Amino acid sequence: MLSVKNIYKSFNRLSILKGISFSQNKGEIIALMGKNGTGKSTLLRIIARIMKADSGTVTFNEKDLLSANSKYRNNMFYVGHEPGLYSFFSPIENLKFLLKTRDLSSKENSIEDKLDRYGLIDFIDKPIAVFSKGMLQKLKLVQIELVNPDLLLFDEPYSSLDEDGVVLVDQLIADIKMQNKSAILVLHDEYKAKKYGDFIFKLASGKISKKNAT
Amino acid sequence: MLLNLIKKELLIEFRSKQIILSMLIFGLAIILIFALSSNVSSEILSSYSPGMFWLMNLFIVVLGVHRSFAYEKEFDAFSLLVSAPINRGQIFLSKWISGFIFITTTQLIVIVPFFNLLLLDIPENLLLFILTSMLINLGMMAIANLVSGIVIRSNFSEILLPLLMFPLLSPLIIAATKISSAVINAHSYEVWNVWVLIVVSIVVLFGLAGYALFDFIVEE
Repeated sequence: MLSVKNIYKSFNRLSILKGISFSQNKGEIIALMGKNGTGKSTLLRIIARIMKADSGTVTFNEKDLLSANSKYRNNMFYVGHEPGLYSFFSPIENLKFLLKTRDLSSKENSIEDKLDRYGLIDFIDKPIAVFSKGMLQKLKLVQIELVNPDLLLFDEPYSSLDEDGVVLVDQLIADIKMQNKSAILVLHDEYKAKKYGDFIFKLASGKISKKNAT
Repeated sequence: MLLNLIKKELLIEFRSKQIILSMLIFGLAIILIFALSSNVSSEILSSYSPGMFWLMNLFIVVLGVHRSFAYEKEFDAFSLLVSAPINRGQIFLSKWISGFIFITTTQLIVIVPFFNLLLLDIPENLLLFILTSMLINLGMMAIANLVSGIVIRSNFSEILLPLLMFPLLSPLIIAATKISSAVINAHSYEVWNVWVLIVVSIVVLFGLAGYALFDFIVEE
């Protein structure tokens, strides 16, 4: 399903990724771990084609993701550290715009239901500029539920969340597994990585090592 | 999709009012400085006025385009946009068209104080002045958005934007000054058509370049 081959990336001559290669089958969840600055976010951003790799290839469902054809990214969704939303828009406006960029339609009621589930319904018409980090993180979860991608690239899903939020992320990952969808999750918690990941990939010194989660 | 992207640009501006308002205030401030500091005869002022008009536009375009891309950097919305399965050329087109709307709106407001405060006569053929200005605006916005797309990922985008943009905009500003001067002085079209052709070439060249290259230049 996803195949990453020989990805190299350096910043100002500092080599971050040195020939990263791995593959992922449908329904697999990869927990990507590593210390700060080892290139976890960089790798996700390269796969999502937000960042340019120095060399290497990424294919998703046999299609070259690094090519100019945007449609190849159709069933993939990247969620980074920031929410990727517009601060002057309300949650509902942001979510509607997100769905339009992916040619998806969703009724307003369904969006409201999801916002309610994540405890954001009281802020439905407020610009997200006033949201706390935790609320923005929950809004990312709503985005994921609405897009429901085949491959989710999620950078630090548990960041800034309260206890309820952590439970919601747990449920979301469980849903992904149940639906036989795939995800690459950047995690720092070994327990969570073992619990949800089919494989744990560790990034260190620009190289990746793989081990079974069980 | 293009329509949705343009709607998004216009709605953000409708909410924030930051682009047009900042361009307006800056434009009016420049006009006031010109008006209060110029101590020359009306003939000399009149001959310099097209240059002053486009110099003012040069500065306000930097301000407007920078703001338009600053929205995208906030909360990293641009990453969501470029990772979405949409033709990135359409992102450029939406920025180009919305930028054109913003600069034209600003010009339509500042044009009256520009001529009034500098004690200049309103051009006899005001409609032609506005139409030619709109064509020039298309060229300015094509260049400005292409350059902004290149520098958006840089930490020094505020510095890089004018540094890269001013040299690229210079030929256009020269042509714009020649055209506006000819329109104000009611010269026949044969005298200034070459400048119009230059502007049209710039619009086509940078418009196509922006559409085709945006896919590659917006990646980090």
